[in-house]
Amino acid sequence: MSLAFVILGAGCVSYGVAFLLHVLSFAEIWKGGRRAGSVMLQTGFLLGTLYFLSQGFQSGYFLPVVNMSAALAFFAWTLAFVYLVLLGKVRTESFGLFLALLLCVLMTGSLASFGRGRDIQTMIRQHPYLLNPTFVLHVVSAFFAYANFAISFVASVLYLIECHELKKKNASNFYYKLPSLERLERMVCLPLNWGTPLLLFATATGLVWAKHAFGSFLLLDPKTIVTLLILGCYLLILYRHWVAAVRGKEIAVLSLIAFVVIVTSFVETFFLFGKHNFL
Amino acid sequence: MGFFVIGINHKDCPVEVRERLHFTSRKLQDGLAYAKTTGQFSESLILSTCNRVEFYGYTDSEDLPEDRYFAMMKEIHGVDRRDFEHYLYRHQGKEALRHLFRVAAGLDSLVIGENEILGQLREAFQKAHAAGCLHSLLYRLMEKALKLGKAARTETLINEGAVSIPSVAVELAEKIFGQLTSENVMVLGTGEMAALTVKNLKSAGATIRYVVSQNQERAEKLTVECGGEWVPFETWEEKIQAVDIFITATRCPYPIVKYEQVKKLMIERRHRPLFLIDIAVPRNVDPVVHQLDDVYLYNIDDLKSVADRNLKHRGHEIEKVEIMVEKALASYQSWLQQLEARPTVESFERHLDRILEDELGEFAKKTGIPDERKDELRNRIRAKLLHVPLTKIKEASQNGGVARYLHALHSLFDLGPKDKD
Repeated sequence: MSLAFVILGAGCVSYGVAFLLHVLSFAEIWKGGRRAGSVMLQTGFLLGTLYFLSQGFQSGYFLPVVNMSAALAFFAWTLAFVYLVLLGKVRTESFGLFLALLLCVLMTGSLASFGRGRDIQTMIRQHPYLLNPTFVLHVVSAFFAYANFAISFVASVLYLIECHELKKKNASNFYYKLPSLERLERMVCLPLNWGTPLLLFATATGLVWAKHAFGSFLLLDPKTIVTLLILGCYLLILYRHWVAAVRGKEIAVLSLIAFVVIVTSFVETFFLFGKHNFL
Repeated sequence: MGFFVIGINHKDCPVEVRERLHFTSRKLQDGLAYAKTTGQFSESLILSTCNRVEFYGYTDSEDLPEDRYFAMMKEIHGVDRRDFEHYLYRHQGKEALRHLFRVAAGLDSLVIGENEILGQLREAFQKAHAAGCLHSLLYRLMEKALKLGKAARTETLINEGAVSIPSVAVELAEKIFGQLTSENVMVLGTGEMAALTVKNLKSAGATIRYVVSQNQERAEKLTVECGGEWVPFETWEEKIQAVDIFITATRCPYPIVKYEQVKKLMIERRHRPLFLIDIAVPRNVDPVVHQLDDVYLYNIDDLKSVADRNLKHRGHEIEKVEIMVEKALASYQSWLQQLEARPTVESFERHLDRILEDELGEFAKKTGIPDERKDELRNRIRAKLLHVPLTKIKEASQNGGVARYLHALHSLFDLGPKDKD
């Protein structure tokens, strides 16, 4: 069993424990569960950081999309980063519960596929253009953008649940654990504000790198088309939010729809043969 | 006799009687001074709130010192015992301790788990301490009660959720807007409930912008207290765009706030959430308004049902808090028993020391062993002999039956008369 696998496993366990602790707090079995769960989330994040640092030092390259395992672990890490670092001030128990579960699922997927697929050395040998710094920037910014959108999506779901609970006036116990609508709205909008420019940057660097690597912008690549569509969706949301000053339920619904488009695009490009189907 | 409590509370005693027996700050000082001078209360504390007037004390006398209590009440309030005697409850010993712990935990309150009682109990404690009415027993008891009260509220959900109409309104506003900081409030009408809701919102951090009323005098009275400006009833619509929380409480027999009006307003507000609190009967806001996105309309029945549900939710926590009360009670009683056991244990230790000193002194003389060696030997024998009985007494003080051990020690070693602590 390699050290990388142990670190990855420990990270997964940390997120799993964080989820259980949040459940204990949520079910009012242990009030301290929320704080302990938050500590475990941070531990998982630190272990994830350690994993990528060790991988980087070991191989001499930083390329998180070399195989499915690394990609899932990196996505989990970016999600944790956005939540714990960027959204540190608006963290909430209910959000931590959902996020810990999501992180645990992603890390389990990463562990399950660990060791499968190509290793980084083989990958670099076969595709030396992947070492181009523009590509690394493209990948990292794209992952952070999608992490932001995922956080915004979860917040949108919670926002709509709370809206519904407030409207029906016969709130369940779950309602009491949700943060205020205002806070949820911030958790919907802040990641959108960061995620959209990041996706714009990722698209731009992706096009530049494609031109450099393949001599073409790959504009007809299914992934490129869908990404531009996603970018359009998020720019529209930002326009509605900042220019038309729309708030509340509409922004939550739009963020939710846009994320559904992202998931659809992933499923679609996974089955279509484009340059991005290398995982 | 030990601890006792004599008191009245909201459960059996009408407010007219409670207010006659209420201790103002001045009367409280007089009452404590009176209790201190009378020989029958070795320790005393008076807890006086709008829902209860209770006298906690510790006495060495055989019977409950009721006569002294009634004399004090007569002296301080001028109220004859016949006027309130039948409302009184009296608890002694363990029951008195349990009563205090239940009061501190909020289990005996009108609104289960309310926080105010803990502050009132702390104040009563400080005043009794300042008046020199507390010594080790009641002092320790009050510390324990306050600690329990705090733990009950932090470790359980006994105080979660608002249970009055105005506080439910604040809770809902906070669910929508987060912590209230600059949310603008407009109130239509200046009735008692409206004023109370406005005051609650103000103290939660909201900004009272407009008080709409046909009666300028009443409106201005409210604005002086809570801020904001008076708006004549005819012009309230012009001001509503800047408002986030809108309370309606007029006697108007038909809806004043209509669907189309709010729909247009929400477009102008770009769907910034709007919280409408309609506490008027008949209702002042068209109920269809609630169907609009980002509009949250709660009428008086909705607010009541939220309050009832929160109260029910608190009810589920009672069992947990009762367990905490029993644990605190057992812990305090254990401490009391250890305290009571102390004189006997000390007598036993002295008895043992005497024997050891005599026998080891003689042995040392005969054998010529140095004093250090003799002391070491004495300490070792002493520790070995005392270990088991002291452990058993400590265990018995937690589980009951300590008196049996103390009696046995007295009888077996002829320790003489029992000391009073």
